[in-house]
Amino acid sequence: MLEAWVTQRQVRFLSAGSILIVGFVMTRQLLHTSSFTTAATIFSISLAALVGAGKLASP
Amino acid sequence: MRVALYIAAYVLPAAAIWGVVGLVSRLLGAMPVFMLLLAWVYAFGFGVCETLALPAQAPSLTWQVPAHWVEKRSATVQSLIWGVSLGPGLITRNPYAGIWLLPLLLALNQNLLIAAGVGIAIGIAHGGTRALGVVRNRTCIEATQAHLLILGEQWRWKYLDGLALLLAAGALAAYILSLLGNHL
Repeated sequence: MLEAWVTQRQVRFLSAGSILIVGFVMTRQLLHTSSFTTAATIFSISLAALVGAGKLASP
Repeated sequence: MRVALYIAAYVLPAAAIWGVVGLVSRLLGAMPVFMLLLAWVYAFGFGVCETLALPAQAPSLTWQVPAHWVEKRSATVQSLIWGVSLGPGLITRNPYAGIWLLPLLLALNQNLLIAAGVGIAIGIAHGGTRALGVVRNRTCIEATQAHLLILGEQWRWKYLDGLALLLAAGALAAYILSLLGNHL
């Protein structure tokens, strides 16, 4: 049911816009307290893990 | 024990190769603002395409491990060949655009040593999860079901990858604006 909901066009638009804003606002806040490269490092390792795990769904 | 060795066959080459990618990216990243803009364009473009399921192909090599490389080899040698080829995630087909954002982000590190260290961590993360995925597929899925299940799952991972790219695009936009603000 959740998958059917997520595949709707407007839900995809909404999630895309929301996550873009979340990334922007979080980084604006983060720049006051921490360095961007630290956050980029944590993000990079997480993204690598996501892509690696996603490859199990690669034919 | 065999599973641990299999995972190591993916993780160790991936760590070594991504360590080198970290070094090379840092050397190429002498122009941080240009790298940031390039990373933003890439993350935003492919993030939109993957999240909205637009028909855009992620940049990827199409090379595959030749069958004769693994035929008539021992299980250990086969694992090593698969691990070296698939662990880093760079030379074989990869449907997720997120992988090519990583070298651009590596270029933003302050010095060579940190870039190499982060590269190694990226390699461990990618190779490890890749190997765990293969192990999971081998143990959980009957061969006849595997292809259908894999195709069904791929769109979910593309959607997640797209969201991760858009998160990065938002973050990069904030960072670029803060840098421009400091310069103005």
